[in-house]
Amino acid sequence: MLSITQAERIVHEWPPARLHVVYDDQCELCRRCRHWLSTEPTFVELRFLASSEPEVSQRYGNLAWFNLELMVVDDYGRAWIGPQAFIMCLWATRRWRPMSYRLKGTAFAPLAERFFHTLSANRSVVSGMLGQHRCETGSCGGTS
Amino acid sequence: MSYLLGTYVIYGIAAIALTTVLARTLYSHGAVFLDALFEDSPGMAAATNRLLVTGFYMLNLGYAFLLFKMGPADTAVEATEMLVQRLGYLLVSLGVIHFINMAVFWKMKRSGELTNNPPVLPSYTVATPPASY
Repeated sequence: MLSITQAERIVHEWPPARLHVVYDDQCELCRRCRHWLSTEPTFVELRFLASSEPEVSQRYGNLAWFNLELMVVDDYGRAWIGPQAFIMCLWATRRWRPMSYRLKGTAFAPLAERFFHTLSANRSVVSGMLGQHRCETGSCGGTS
Repeated sequence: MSYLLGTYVIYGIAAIALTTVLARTLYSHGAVFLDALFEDSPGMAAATNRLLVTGFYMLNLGYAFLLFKMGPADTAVEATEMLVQRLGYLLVSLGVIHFINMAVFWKMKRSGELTNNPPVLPSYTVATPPASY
């Protein structure tokens, strides 16, 4: 764990020009969100890394939050986890960037954080509601 | 009549002096602000600053000149009253324009932040992502 200091921001490009979104591709909700995000015009380049890909799980499988929380990583390995990753995804888009700042603002922050946590924790349930064809349980190995 | 002419002269000098002093203040302190805003293009900061100050001059001097005409001043007291009233109008309008200018600076700073830095800082450093898979 390392907090980002001013020095590190200068060492590496800041703000990041490209973000890698590590998402759970076994979850229907996540797949739909990924699809939505890939159709949005963005300020920064977005790459989507499915957590079931061997390259991805080899690299990040040892992280405690892997496959539990959404993760956004930039080219230098600086990572945003959970609610902050959601906010970074919004920040990347042209349409929702102003919203990302508002969600970070003092008024909405706790509410938004709780919402994203709840969404992450219950994504298998939501996926089930969305109707997933490839598995009966609706969670489809989200815990792999 | 002789009072009126004296009043005009004093008003003219005061209006130009006040506008100049305020514009210089705006210019020197605004420069610091705009430099921070346009970190990567100092030319842009200087140009924006100069344009803002030019607008400030035009608005203020134009308004000061519009206020110029005064009624008859037969006594020294009347002349003084008119002069003070005109200067009051001028200062209040200068103040309003000055605060609008500051609001513009502030808004530019806000919008600058909006397009640059992410709202949240990264919390961890992990392995760099795979180049391809």
